[in-house]
Amino acid sequence: MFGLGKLLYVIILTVNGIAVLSEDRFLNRIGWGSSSGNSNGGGPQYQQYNTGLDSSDGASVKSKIINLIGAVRTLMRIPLIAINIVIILYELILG
Amino acid sequence: MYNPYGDAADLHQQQQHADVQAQAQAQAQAQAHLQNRQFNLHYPQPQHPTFQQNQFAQSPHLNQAHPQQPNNAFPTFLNDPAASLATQFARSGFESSNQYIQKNFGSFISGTGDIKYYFQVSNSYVLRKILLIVFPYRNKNWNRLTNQEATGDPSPTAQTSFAPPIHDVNAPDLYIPLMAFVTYILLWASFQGLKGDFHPQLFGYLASQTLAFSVIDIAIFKIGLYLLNCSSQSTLWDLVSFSGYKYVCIIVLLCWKHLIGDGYLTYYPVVLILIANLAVFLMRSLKFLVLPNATGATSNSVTTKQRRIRVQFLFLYSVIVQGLIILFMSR
Repeated sequence: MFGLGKLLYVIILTVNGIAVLSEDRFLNRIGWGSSSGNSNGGGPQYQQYNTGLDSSDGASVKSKIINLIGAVRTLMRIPLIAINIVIILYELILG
Repeated sequence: MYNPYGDAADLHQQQQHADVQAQAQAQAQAQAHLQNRQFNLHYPQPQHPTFQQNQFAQSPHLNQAHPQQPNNAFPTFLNDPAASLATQFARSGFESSNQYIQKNFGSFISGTGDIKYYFQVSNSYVLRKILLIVFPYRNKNWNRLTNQEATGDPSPTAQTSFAPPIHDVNAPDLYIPLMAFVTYILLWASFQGLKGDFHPQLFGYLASQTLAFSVIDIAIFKIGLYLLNCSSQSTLWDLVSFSGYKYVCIIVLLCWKHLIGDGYLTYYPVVLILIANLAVFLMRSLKFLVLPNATGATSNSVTTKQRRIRVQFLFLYSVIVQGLIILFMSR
């Protein structure tokens, strides 16, 4: 049934999915690149997300998501390689 | 061998071999004494000279044989300065490594020292809390008391801390969720057994499934708190505790389903009522985590738009996420 092992697979696959998002081919195209997160209130199309912005940076939901995606991509690439290798070996050997 | 009860038996035997053995023993004792004397020059041990002299005085009569020497050395092994130096070194090394781990990874191991707070419960607290989970409409004040308000003595640290569950019915605890979790697994297994379906791996399946749901539940709430920029002094154990209160509802539903029935008219209204009550309980209790305190002066106050989003998030979490989990776990 639905247990801790399957949950682990789900989490790792999701984080894999976030980590492979390409910065310049995809995120910038839909306006979620890390550069647009820095320049809040830059263009007119971002103003609808800035109503919640106050003195603290990254206060809107969108900028937090952008930060989160950037952080996952930067920090988790190398550990994810190791974890994926371990899981692949496990699946190969033990089915 | 050294005999603490005296040598009554040995003495009787040794009287016969007294002369021959006395000489041999005297020589052996003299040599042992000399060796110990030399020993004493390097490692001064105040016990040795007196003990040896005692024996030396009584050597012809008593049959304290050669094993005195290693027997002497054994209990005084730890008085050895080299050994004491080693224990000092080990102790200081252990302390410094412990401090290093606490400083760098203490935030990850999330408050292992503070968990006793959540287990200070009493019978009346448990009873009132369970009634509150099932019927939360009679409680007037949902704010948590601080330590100062509850007992009157100020907290030792500078930061005001909340009162433990004994004094405050609104405080989260870990006793009820833990007991409810175990009870749920045992109840489910016993109902499966009544149906004739029981096998011992069921415990493992159930525990793993329930833990997976808990992890997802707490992860959703934590991510929500992070995305909404809610700065509050909530620890992980608070979330675990509030997320575990739904097991009480699930247990009630399981018992209802097996005692009264599974039909549309008798079962599903009860499900909806219990989910609504749990949602009200959670929304009122978690308000202090999500929305800024009315009395406290927080640095950043939220705008009305943010406030609405936060309230919506709280509603979404309490009703929909918990409702789905309850429905799935009590099928």
